[in-house]
Amino acid sequence: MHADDERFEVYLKQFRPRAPKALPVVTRGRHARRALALGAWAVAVALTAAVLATNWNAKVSHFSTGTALQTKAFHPLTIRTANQLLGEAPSLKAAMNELVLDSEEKTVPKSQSAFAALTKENINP
Amino acid sequence: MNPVRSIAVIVVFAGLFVGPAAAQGGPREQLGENAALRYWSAFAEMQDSAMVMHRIPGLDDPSVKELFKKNQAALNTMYRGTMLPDCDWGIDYQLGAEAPVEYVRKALLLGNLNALYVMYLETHGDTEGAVRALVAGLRFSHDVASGGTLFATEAAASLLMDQLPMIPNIVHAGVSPAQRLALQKALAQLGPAGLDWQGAVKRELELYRGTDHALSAKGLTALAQITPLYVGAMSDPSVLPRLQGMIANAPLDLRNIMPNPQRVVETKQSLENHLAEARGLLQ
Repeated sequence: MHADDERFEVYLKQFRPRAPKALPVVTRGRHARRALALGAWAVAVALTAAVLATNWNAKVSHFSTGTALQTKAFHPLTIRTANQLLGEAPSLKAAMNELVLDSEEKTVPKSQSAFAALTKENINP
Repeated sequence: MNPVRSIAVIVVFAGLFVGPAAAQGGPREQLGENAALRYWSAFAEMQDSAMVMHRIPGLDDPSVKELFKKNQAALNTMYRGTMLPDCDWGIDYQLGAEAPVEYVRKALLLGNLNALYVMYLETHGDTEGAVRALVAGLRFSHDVASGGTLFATEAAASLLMDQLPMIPNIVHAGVSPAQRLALQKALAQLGPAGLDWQGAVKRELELYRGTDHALSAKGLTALAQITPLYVGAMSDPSVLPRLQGMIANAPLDLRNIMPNPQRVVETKQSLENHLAEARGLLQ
């Protein structure tokens, strides 16, 4: 054990303290480079978003066969939404048809009703 | 307790219970005579009514017969509603332009269903039934506009213009004097213009004064000038060019919400033409 201690002391003595380095100073040039990099990232992100948005719109318009009116749902029907429909429809008949077609209920299968779901659950402990 | 005091207590309690009930008697009776409430019951009874808006295979198709069978209760409730003198949809004008008018959508469905039923009865030789359904349908369509804005009135006009052309078919097939009289009476009850266009315009433009439209001071001033002319255009279409000029020069906030008077006048005139044709045929 004693010999080990001596060897360890010798080992530690071989280390010499070094003169500390100067603290890193942020220069103007570095600032500019960082800003440039950030700017480049922002531009890249914006471009990517724009490209994605354009493609998305193109896909939607490609698959949508209906008119602009058909993409709107006049729910709830208020005086304001009704007037909007009348203003946008090409004719009174078209507006009325649009309104009635829009009324078709999205039927939910009974098996998906809240009541059905609750009765399926085992609520007994 | 002494007998006099007991009687007094009984009288006081009786008064407490009977008084409010007696006071409510009048309005309750009036409420029961409101056709709109029957119509709402009919809407609730409708089943698969959206089918009338799709291309149907033919009036003899079993699915069409089934549709009428399913909706017989709804149609009968609507017919009973048309017997009542008043129709108040209870539009909450305090909500301004956000007032719900869902009843118009339901009414269009029920009205179209009834119109299809008239055709069905007529093609199956049931003239009595067809006349009865058509008379009720005309009255119902008229009631759709009751107390509403231009939208409800235009919807009612659309329903009427769908049904009025059915009169020639029924008449040519042969109607009894009583059936002819029933049709004449139904048309007379619609009034000369069919609907109250002036009232609808007034209610429509009155809405624009509300805070929810947030019209500028200039917009409100222009609205005050335009309103009498717009109402006047309903009885005198010759003022239409002047009215359109005023709207074109109105501030943008008003111009953006103003209903197209040309469209309204054209619909009104078209309905009047349909009415004149039907009346002429029945004379």
